[in-house]
Amino acid sequence: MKIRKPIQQRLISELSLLGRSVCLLALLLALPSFAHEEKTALSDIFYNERTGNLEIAHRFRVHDAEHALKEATDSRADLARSPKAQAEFSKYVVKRFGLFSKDRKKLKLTLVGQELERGYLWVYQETKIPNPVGASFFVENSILQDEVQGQVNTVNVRYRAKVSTFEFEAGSGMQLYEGPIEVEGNKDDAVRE
Amino acid sequence: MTRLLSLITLVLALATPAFPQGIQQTKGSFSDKFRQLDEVLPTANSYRNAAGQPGHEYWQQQADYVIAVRLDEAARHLSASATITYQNNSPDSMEFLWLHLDQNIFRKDSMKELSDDFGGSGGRGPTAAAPTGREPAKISLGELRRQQGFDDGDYGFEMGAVTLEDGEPLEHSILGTLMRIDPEKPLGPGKSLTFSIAWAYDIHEQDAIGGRAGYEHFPKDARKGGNDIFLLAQWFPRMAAYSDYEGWHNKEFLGRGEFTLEFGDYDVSITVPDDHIVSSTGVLQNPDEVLTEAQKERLSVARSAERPVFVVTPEEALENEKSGPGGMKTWKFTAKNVRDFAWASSRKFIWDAQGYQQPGAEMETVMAMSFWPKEGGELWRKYSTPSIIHTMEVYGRFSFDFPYPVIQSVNGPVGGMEYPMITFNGPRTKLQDDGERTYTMSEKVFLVGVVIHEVGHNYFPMIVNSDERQWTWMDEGINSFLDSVAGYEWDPEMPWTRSLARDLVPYMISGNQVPIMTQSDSILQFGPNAYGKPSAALHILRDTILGRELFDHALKTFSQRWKFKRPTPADFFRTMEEASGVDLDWFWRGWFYTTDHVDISLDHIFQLRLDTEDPDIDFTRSREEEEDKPTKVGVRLNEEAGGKTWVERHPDLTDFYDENDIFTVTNKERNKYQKFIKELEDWERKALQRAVKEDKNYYVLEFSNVGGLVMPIILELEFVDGRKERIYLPAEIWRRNPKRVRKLIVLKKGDELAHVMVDPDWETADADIDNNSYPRKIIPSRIEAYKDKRSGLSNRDIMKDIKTKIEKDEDKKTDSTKADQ
Repeated sequence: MKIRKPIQQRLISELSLLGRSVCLLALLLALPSFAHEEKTALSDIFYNERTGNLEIAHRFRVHDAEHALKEATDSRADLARSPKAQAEFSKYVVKRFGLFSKDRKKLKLTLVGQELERGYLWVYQETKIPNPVGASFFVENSILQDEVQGQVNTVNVRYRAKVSTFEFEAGSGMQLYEGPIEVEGNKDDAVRE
Repeated sequence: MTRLLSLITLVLALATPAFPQGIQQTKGSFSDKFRQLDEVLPTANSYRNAAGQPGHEYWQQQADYVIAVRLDEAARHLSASATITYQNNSPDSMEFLWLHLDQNIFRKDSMKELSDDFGGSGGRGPTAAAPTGREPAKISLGELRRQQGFDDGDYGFEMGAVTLEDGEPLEHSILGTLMRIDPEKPLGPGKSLTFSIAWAYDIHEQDAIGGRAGYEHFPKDARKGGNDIFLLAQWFPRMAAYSDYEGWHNKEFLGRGEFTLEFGDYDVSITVPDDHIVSSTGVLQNPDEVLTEAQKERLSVARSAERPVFVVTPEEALENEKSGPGGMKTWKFTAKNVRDFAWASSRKFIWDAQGYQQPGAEMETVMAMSFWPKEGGELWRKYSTPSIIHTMEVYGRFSFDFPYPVIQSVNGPVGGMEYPMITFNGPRTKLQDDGERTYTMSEKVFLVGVVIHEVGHNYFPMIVNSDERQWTWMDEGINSFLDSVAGYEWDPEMPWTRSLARDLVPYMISGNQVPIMTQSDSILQFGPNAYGKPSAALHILRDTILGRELFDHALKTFSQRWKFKRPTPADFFRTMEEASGVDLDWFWRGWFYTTDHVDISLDHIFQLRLDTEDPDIDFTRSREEEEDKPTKVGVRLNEEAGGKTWVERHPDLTDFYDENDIFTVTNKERNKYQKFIKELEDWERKALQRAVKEDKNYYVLEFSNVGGLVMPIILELEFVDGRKERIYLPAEIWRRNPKRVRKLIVLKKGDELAHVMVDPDWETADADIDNNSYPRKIIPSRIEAYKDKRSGLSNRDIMKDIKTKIEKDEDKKTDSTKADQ
């Protein structure tokens, strides 16, 4: 589709000639600042070595999820009170989240279920921990982004003590998780008595 | 994608404050978590002292405005003129003065527009996506509408004359969203300058272009051409703030960071179509000219009513929607000691009001009022004005009685925004096919929550005037904390979205994080950083560290010290310590200046018993301990095999050593013991004898600090007999070794520990529950717990099952496969 992007890009690179700091600041101009909180969602990917599963837990504010469901499916359901709508929402989430192997093959994720916890709606997925354990994979997350302006999704991948964090916004595409790296806790640091 | 990541890394490098942990150690790895903050905080002076109070020479500027403004509804155009009186209360001579011209952000060539990153983190507006290697660029319809809106309109201030009182032109320059005024002579200390400005601008459509104000069009209303709601904010040239610690707070408005202004008095005359209802900062001065008799009467009744009273009923508003104006009317408002001014106008408004009484306060009656179109429905009628009043009831306890005469909640296109005495709030009902207007539970939570939050902002920062551009957390964080208190006092069962400490864990362990004390425009993960984490920190400070009495007193002290003044974070940190008497520097340093998280691990518990030194007792004990040890495997196998040992086959060859073991006591030991006892000092002997008699249980608990943040250690001790007891170890336990500590717990004879749990109530945002438990318990993951729950009791459809009939024996034979799920 024909869009104005080329012109804006030109202006941006001209600005960067004028002054690095201006360009940097402007590009960092991140998120909308309503006087009430902005739109964020969180996904936690956890290597559960006890069960052998890679557990994925997505957390949304119920109000955001309800708005997205309404936009995406024209559903008018009261998400906080309708288990059916909650299940609908899970199906929506599943379509917009994916893990891919290094060669970009989509990993099969099982939808485990969803639940409400105070003002949050959690959606759960899981799959087997990749073999070998150290394998890297891609994460793609466009949940809520088409429906909610300025949506920012944070993904934490946790293996033992190590947390790798990724941020997804409209157009972020796939991001590579390097795979679990063994991390020594700080228990062995020499300490002065 | 890679570009975004590398930008983040670069920002982190730039944003790191100098030495928040104190001087770097080169020998060993000690880090001084309890280092006092004095060297990090700005030096105290006579404007803001070391106690966190306004100093004895505290000053702030003042800006008064007399404005006349006219709204041209059809053209959606505003024209106005103002006389501004700027009072220089500083000791400085001012060569120039700065003003904000925020509407200029909507010019096609504004810095905000030019610097918008296509496909990156969008501003307040719609989304777009830059092309990646595999996918074409995308642009949302919303972004298209925004660009068309820009094409159609010509936004930004059209400036008229800028003159002195005598009509002489005043030199000025316009730079983006800022204007500089150059008086002929510098404005000396104690002097004031009065000047006039005329301007006009086109009001933009808020849904299309975004922003914190604008109009919203309702084409389906029963009136030719439909109706608009107009929300006006940042609508006049506003004096920029000038402070003792920053000078001019003049930074280009880029749409995100909000900011701070000066207190002053406003007289504003608002000319609108004569069938419009106006809601505005300030008190209406000429009700006789603009209100009907009925409306005046109802307002008077509302002042002392116990429930909201309609000033304009829904039926009247519906009728009014169809009408057309006969001419214009001018509403005159006066506001004293406010830092900004906003208003709204529409013929669609339903209007209700209720007086909130504060007996004995400087403002005994505050009029709480709500304005909403029919689209706000029952949701607004039921909850808007009551939420305003609830907010004042709760916030008043923590800070001060509401000092302004009115406080309003107005429904329009803006989701949530605050100005002195007036807030804009977005929730709406949905029109169903049967003509009913309904709303979901979430929309209700949103309405009550956003009204509380925006009205709360009147306290922070509209009255406790912090600089939101520099320190977003000072108003958003404190306000988020208080709005969650107010929410739970409204109804603890409602699914509030404000985070508890435990909800912050994923953010606090995440990689792309910056400290709370980061300048607003550089913040990553803005919401959790400026709203969630400070709020959680304050809850912990209140409920876990200081306790409610100390905390509430300290917060109240801070609020009252800085009411109608300009505080900085240092003033807050200092005041909270001074008023509570508790050293909190470790807390501010850890929570606000670093990105460490909480993870305290209980690594070992050792059980010990005191040696009595008396061989008759100790040797016996040693023998018992030896006998308690498991039998050696080889010996056991020999016995099972049945063979006899040499000593068993030669019983006549036994001697003294066969009848006595290494634990036999002789007089030599007893004499040694007596000598030892005699040589003790009296007090030593007494202590020893008492300890032997009491025979207590000694436990040594070993903790390590995995997350970095030093925190108090809350212990739940579970005894063998089932009893539970709590112990609170203050954070100071970590002061000499922030990585590992041991604690000796002495229990009376008979009290034996079975299990110890750290932070049993999840108060401290501990990131790893697994290592909080000793002996270790298997803590199921979130998904494991969910699966367990799902297959259990809570999954029953009790409403349906309760109708099941009792089975009789005859039935059982035919119904054998009924599953008990």
